[in-house]
Amino acid sequence: MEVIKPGSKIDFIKIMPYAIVVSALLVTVSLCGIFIWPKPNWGIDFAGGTEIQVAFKQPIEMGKLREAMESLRVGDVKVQEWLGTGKANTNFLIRLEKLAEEPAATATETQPGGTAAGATGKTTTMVEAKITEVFGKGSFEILKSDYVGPKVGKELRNQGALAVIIANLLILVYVSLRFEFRYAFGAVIALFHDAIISAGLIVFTQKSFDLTIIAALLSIVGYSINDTIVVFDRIRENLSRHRRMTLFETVNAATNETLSRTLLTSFVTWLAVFCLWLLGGSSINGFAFCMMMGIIVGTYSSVFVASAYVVYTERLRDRRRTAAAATAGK
Amino acid sequence: MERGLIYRIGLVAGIMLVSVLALVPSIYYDYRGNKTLLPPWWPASFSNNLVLGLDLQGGMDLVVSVSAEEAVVNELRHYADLIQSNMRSDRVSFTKVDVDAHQRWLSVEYPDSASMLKGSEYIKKSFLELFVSEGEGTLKQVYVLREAAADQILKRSVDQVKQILGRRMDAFGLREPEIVVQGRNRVRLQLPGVTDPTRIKENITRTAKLEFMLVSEMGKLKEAAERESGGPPAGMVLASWTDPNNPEHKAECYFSSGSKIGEGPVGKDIKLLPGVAKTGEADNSTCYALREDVTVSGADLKDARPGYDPEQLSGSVVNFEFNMKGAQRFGKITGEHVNEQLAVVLEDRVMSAPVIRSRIFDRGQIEGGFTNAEATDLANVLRSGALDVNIKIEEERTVGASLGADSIHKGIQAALWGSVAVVVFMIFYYSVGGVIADLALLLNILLIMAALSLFGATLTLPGLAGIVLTVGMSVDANVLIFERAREELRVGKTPRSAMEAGYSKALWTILDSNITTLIGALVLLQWGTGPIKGFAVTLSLGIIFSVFTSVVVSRIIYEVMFYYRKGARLRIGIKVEPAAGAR
Repeated sequence: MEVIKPGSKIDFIKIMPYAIVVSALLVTVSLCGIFIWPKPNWGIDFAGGTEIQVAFKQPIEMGKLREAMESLRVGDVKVQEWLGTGKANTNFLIRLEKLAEEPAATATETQPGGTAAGATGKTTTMVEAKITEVFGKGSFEILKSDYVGPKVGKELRNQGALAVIIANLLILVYVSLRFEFRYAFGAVIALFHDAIISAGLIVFTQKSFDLTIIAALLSIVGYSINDTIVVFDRIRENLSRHRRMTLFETVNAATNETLSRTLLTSFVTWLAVFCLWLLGGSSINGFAFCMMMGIIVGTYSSVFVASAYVVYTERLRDRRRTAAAATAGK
Repeated sequence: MERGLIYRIGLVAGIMLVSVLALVPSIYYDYRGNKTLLPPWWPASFSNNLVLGLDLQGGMDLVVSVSAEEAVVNELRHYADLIQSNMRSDRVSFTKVDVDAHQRWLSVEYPDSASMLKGSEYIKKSFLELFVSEGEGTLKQVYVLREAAADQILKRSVDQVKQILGRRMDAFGLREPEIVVQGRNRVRLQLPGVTDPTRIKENITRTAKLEFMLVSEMGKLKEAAERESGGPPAGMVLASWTDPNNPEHKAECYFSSGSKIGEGPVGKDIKLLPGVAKTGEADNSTCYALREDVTVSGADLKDARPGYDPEQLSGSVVNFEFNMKGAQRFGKITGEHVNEQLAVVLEDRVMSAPVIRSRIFDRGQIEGGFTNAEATDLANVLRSGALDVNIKIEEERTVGASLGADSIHKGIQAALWGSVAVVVFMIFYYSVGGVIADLALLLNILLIMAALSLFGATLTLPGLAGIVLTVGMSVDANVLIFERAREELRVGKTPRSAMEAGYSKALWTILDSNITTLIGALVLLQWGTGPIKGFAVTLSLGIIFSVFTSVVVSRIIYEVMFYYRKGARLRIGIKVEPAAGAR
């Protein structure tokens, strides 16, 4: 079976200006989303705080649960229902943020009881005790509880951003070694493009931005470079084979020749990730969603963004050369 | 058949055999009972099994931190004690040896310059870790710890915390708890199968510092307060005491929210601590003045067991036994202070303050109205050793067993249907070629699972996600090869040379694209934590194996095919009329 018939002659160079406008727009909007509005809905990993998934045996009133949590007075309270496999009004996600900072445990302070865990380390225990008090013992089950201290949250955030940047730089180095630096730079611009737009999508859908999203962004970065490299490989091969063709023609031909493969592999991977999104359960849902979007953006960018960079720098160089020749001719 | 091909077949067969051997223990494993179902003759080197991550089997992942400052201050206090006692025995006179906990320095004051010279010479020679930061040559010298020494102390302190927590966790009989030092000042505890997270956390964070201190003649301050004012005044001041000989020596004891004591200038070596009610809570109505100069540390215990005291109807008690060193000191103090009150101080609360009736050597009892479980836990933490630094919970992740089971179920479903979708699509698109790519894919999954088993790596939910992603990505290499072969067929090459061209021309592209993906995965492996690391592991393995299965294994299948049927058609989903000259 063939989706893209051999000998397809789509003029990518002609579409490129439009693609660049669209990309620039998407990147700008995404950056605004990340830094200005609406800003990422930072998950507990990065924001710090406590998040508890609780399942009740019988449906309860969410308002009552929220009231109970607010009466703890430990920080900002968010209670929301999440759709697990259970009945309606039985599964809830409780999130406590901006927990009161505990006093620094210095050696001079006597701390009766000897437990220096402070209020923040104990929120899970407090929440459990409160639910038991209000709804009765054995009426619920704590499925999952996460507490991330403010220090750790900040570290995780910095590490995550660092990891994405380092991955990009290492890829830049590798691609420069295997191709010209110009290509490598084009590829990395495409990667940042993919990472930013994928992150933007998570921000605008207000999905929880947590560690798994960082994992997804890194996978997108590592994956979307594949398509770009396949196109670049073909450009290089064609440049040495058809010396009479211009770079633009070569890029066009190479993109067309590899189009079938690009779409096919992306689709297969997308198919697998789609199954993950559909069946993988709530903990992995954000990750799968981010990957699904990232694969689409990555495929688009390796066709348009990466080669566009190469094409336009070449055009610029040509123009300079002709200008230089013109002045030299005078 | 060529010799090279036979070698390659042998290699692949060998790898498959090892993989199957490595996977068997994970299949014959009772994950609930946590025991292997393998026959005893199974070779030990193949007996590792897949370890399920805490997110899949349920459990607790805890990161605690040790305060570097506190460890340093503790060490400085220790130095201060040594300096004082050594200078006393060397007859070097000094006014004061003090430790400032906030500035983290140690200061020594001398009455005259002669003793200053002698004293600073002694400190310089005996404490290489200290250096003078202020007051060189004056009568008050301030010392701070060298940075390298401070690092050393922190490291020792963190290692000690790790060991003590390990001993404390042993009592809970968890399966394979893992406790490791992380970074500079953190300890990570991975505790599978925790059923009562609250109790575990309490056992981890308490210091279990046990001391025996003589109650000062000031006695119970509450009595004094009552004598003076008939009860605690409305302000937070519960009790106050002034030394009749020196009005500057006065004590005030506050309780804010029942937990914290502020203290004013207290008489030399006097410490104020709250008592404990029979319920085990801090008792706001009693305050003890204790002599810090007459103490026995509870660190020198040989054993501690929960027990019942027939006279104590209010609850369980903990009986303990000193080791030689502890018994000597305990015997000396109890011998010297018969008929005085000795306070049993646990974690800075006075549990009880019985009157010493006669000299006691090696055993004692802690009472405090404990429940049976509390007494058991207390005995456990006392046996495991006291922490001399406070530890703080930095990160806690607990997954219930039922959610874990649910996650396994969903993860496997996703992996299964993801694979089915990819396998079916590949056959649909590339017909026989697709079947061969699918074989490579299945072998890839087998290799990933085998490698995880063999290295005893941990499988997490993101790890399962990594496998699903690998399933999608690993056919990429075969797609590249087939697309290339299709092009070659179209320009009229024979099936065999088209396939060979497909493999050789696509090779570098395959390597390039997989190496870049691997870079992303390895960065994640380096910077990721916990379950995310599991994702990076399966993804990295999947990428590496996919190159092997598609470039090596699927090629072998084609070569064998062409060996048996020289003119076989290349079925990769397109119809190409053989060019006239191609035969």
